[in-house]
Amino acid sequence: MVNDVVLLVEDSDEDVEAVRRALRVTHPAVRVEHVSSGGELVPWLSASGRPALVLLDLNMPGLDGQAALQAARERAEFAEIPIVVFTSSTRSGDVDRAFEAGASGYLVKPLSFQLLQQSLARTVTYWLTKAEA
Amino acid sequence: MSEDLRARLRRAEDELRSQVDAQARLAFLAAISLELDSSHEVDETFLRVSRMMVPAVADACLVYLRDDGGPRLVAAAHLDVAQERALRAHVPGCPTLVERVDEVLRSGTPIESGVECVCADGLPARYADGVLVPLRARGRVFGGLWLARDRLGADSRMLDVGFVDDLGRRVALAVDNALLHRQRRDNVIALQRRLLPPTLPRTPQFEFAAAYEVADVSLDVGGDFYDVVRQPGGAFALVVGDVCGRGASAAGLNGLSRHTLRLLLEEGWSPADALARLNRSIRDEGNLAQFCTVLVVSLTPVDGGATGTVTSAGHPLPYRIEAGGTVTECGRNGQLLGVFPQLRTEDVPIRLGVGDTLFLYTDGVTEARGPAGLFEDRLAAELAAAPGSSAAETVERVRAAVTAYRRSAADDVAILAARLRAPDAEGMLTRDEGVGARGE
Repeated sequence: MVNDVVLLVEDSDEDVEAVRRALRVTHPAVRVEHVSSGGELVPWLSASGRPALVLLDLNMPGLDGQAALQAARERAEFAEIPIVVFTSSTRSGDVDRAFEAGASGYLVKPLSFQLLQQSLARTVTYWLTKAEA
Repeated sequence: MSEDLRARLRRAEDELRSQVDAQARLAFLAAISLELDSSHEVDETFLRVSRMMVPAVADACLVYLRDDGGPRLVAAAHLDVAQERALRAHVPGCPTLVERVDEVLRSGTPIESGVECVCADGLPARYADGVLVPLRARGRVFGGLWLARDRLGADSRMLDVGFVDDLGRRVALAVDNALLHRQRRDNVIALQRRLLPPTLPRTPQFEFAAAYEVADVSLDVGGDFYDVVRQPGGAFALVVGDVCGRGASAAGLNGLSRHTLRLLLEEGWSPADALARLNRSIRDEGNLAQFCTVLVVSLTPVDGGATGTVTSAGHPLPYRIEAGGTVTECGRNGQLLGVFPQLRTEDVPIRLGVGDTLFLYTDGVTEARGPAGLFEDRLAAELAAAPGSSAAETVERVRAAVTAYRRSAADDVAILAARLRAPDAEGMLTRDEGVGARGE
């Protein structure tokens, strides 16, 4: 059952707050849940069910985003959950590795809040619409 | 609420939205300009651009380059990787898109274009809104940029012709710069290859090996050179040189020095006479700012070893690595080339035993700086560390040690080694003989 939850896996408090602020304006019905390390992704999914979207930072202490993504994709019940990598890197090598690990999309963290808001709005709208289609 | 008040509120809201949109566009232009400035590789630039456009501006992005055969897809992005893969698979053979891109490449005019694809395996009505703009720099259209909204995506207020055309101009300028950078690098590599011998002689008496690395900070042509020249009477001359400076001027002196010495040494001139003649040639050019150092070692195989001379024109002296591991510096320093009217150098006799190696290098080796100082203090110990190594093994070991030791590649590195084979090995050539030119 898909709900209107976006799970944010992110260790930066600043980025968490920016995502919350952005989606509060563009998608007020969406609830943003947050865990701060890659190691918490699979346990969260196991305990809380399927979110509409996971936004996953790559560079985190402990289990990083890449490893967390692989761990989630190894579980059949999480194979169809949209997991979008949310990172500041535009290097093609990082993009390729994310897709090989099973990322559903790749969102570059913009430098400005307006751009973040627009990028998140497009991303969330797309995945919510796709889930309903 | 009166009608008038509602209208004023709507106008205020529209104005505020316009301001927010304008700020977002400016922010995106600034961000993408920063990103474009940081990349000099064409392919990487396209990939980064497409990844930034999606989803900030659009849901899908395609970048084309104009080739002889028509438009060629060089980057694709979609905010859904499944759709991105579908685009990559479909687009190169899609006549609808190719026709649209062709039109923009021909006219140089942006168009609003979704894709109502007619292909059997196409993307029917998936992209209703889109903008296709030319990539143009220095008056030439060399590609196209297509941005589109997926039918599942939200409306994009960034997706208008004027803004995307502005993006296209910036991308085109960055790509044009990257293309120029690639062309320059290719030219440098081609020139560098011409300044070094394509191969080293293969002989039953000696193993020769060399390594070369250009300090790729400014993409200039390196100033170091090396050569191995066959001389009359079965002798071989080993040459290593280091030209002052970098770039085109250094390349000119590099070529003059190597080819002049090769010719004279092949003709049987002694190293000291050949260097004196080269000194006159350099000075005859009249540029007092150009000078270089050169080392020539001439070796003639004899029974039980080889005899010869070491002649240094201001160049670091070579090391003899005896088969047992003893390392000795050979020769005496002379004056550098291009400075003094009468060059003073000396042909100092040398003898090599079977299995001995002679090691020549430029100051990029000894002046490599690491946390504990210069590599100069470590070179002799490094050479003594593995007695009995082949010439190629010695060269590679020192090259790798220098690379690992230095903090940055500030200077070119040229290394040349010759090892006297054992008599029973005459006629046999090892597989690892040859030249390893790096920095290309």
